[in-house]
Amino acid sequence: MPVIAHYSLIKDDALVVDGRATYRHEDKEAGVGAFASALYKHMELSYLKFFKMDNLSKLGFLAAEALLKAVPDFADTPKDKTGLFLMNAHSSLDTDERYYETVANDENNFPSPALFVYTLPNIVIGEICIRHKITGEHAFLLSEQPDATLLCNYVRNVFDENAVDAAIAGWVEYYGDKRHALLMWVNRQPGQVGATEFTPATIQQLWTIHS
Amino acid sequence: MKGVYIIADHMLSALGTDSAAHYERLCSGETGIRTYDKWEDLSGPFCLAAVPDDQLEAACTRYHIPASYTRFERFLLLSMQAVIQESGIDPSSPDTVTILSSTKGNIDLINPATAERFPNARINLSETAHTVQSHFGLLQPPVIVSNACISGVMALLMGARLIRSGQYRHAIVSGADVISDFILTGFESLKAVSPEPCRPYDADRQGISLGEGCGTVVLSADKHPGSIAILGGSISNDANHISGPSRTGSGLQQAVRQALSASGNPRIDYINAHGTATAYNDDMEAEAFHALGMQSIPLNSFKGYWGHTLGAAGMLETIAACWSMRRHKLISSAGYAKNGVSKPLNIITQTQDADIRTCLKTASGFGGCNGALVLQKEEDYAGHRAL
Repeated sequence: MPVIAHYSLIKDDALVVDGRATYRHEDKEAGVGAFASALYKHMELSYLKFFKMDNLSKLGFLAAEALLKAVPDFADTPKDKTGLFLMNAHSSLDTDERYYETVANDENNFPSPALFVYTLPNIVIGEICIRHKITGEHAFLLSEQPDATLLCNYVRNVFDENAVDAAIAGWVEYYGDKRHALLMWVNRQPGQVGATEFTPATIQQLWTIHS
Repeated sequence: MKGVYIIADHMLSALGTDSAAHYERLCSGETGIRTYDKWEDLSGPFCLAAVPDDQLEAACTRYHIPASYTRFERFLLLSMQAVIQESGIDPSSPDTVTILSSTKGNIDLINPATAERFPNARINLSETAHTVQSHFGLLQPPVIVSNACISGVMALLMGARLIRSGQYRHAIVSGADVISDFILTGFESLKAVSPEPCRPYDADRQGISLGEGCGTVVLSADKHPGSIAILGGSISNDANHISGPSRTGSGLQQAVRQALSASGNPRIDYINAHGTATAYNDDMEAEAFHALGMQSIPLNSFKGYWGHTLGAAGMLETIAACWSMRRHKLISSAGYAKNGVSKPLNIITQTQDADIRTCLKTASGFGGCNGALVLQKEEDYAGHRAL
């Protein structure tokens, strides 16, 4: 039975890792761009590609940075056996609208390729994979609400098939200035300190206590 | 380990509104790609594989799909209705899961002119799940897979896994996308669109032709006469670039190796590859199949027939591969004349009879994703040769 060994959460102005608030942005009303830049600085990251990402990718990227820093054995996990399973409600709609503004602008009609490449929700998976050299199973699923049952069942199927040894699973949503990311590090090592069984109920519980 | 079988299928694209019509036109070498002087407000010319309006209307009438649905929704609903009728399964049974794959769903509603008739929220694929749920009276909203151009392959693999694990007995898996000014301008901005019908793997290939359509199957834990088994599959990520494939095709190699290993390493008789006709994609595939030692296996791309249908591609192409297997036919790869990839492949240039027992289906897409599925028909299939 896989376990939730660690988790990271970004909600509004806060970053939480394994239940501890590790960062709180001073300006509660800050837009996602300002928040992401401040968190990037706070985490002392140095990764220039971050600055060309769209908001959804920045959010997922930062949540993954925080999560994987908390995973002591990540370096030893085979990257082709590491999975990445994410969901959200609004796909890449924030960037879709930004891209379409460059199409529908009559005076300055230059559709932006730099925006267009971010008009798919799974690009955030691609960005996290590039950063951490993860090459394993993945999926981006859409659901109006976090669907703990589906996420849990499918990720367990992939574990049962031995297609992964460990996985990042969770929710990364950004639309209309609402940001919410919850990433879980799921692996097969029971008995770890703080480890919780990976079940629909435990996933739901994490979602509920942090929303 | 439980088997998973494709027991019913339906295809909708520029080439026709049912699977049999598609198969006939594939055999006669017809393409659905046409030149359009304009598309909506955009001035062309554009080479596109669009579903003709009159054919769509006729198919919607046949399956009682009203015009109160969007074009994208009508694609899904008519195609799903067709497989429900063909298979006789109950979509509202707790034994049945429904999975939809799409890259952009109702994205044409982002254009205010198209959006007028529909509420704003309809643009979200999570909303499409509710539309489909209420149309068919499903117990749960469908699962939505949105993972670029491998969405269809991923949805099939997910359906197979959910059945194999015993959670469901049947899965209705449907993939669709529509041509829109959003998608067309996007691929144009990337300079990825061919001015002539696309020519996968050819020396003169100039990029993709956009298409649209829908492909739907019923997967079942129960074998039927003529069904094709999904033996296994795998998804991988290049971890290299978000909008270009890796030069070496290492991600595709990984997906194929794992798919074969999950399927018990059967001998592959035929490969239906992704073949978009962009310079980078086709070269990447050539590198990967060489590294895998699969360069002499007969291979084709169906995109010269109905264009790149994005979230429908993996569905339509897998269904066409199943028809090829059942009818013992290797279908020529439309648009191909002269080798144009970095390492030569065994591209099918003439439609011919062949016994195909096992097929590898692959796909790759933005975000660095790759998918592979292994399909097999039964040993005793000769008995169905007359089908």
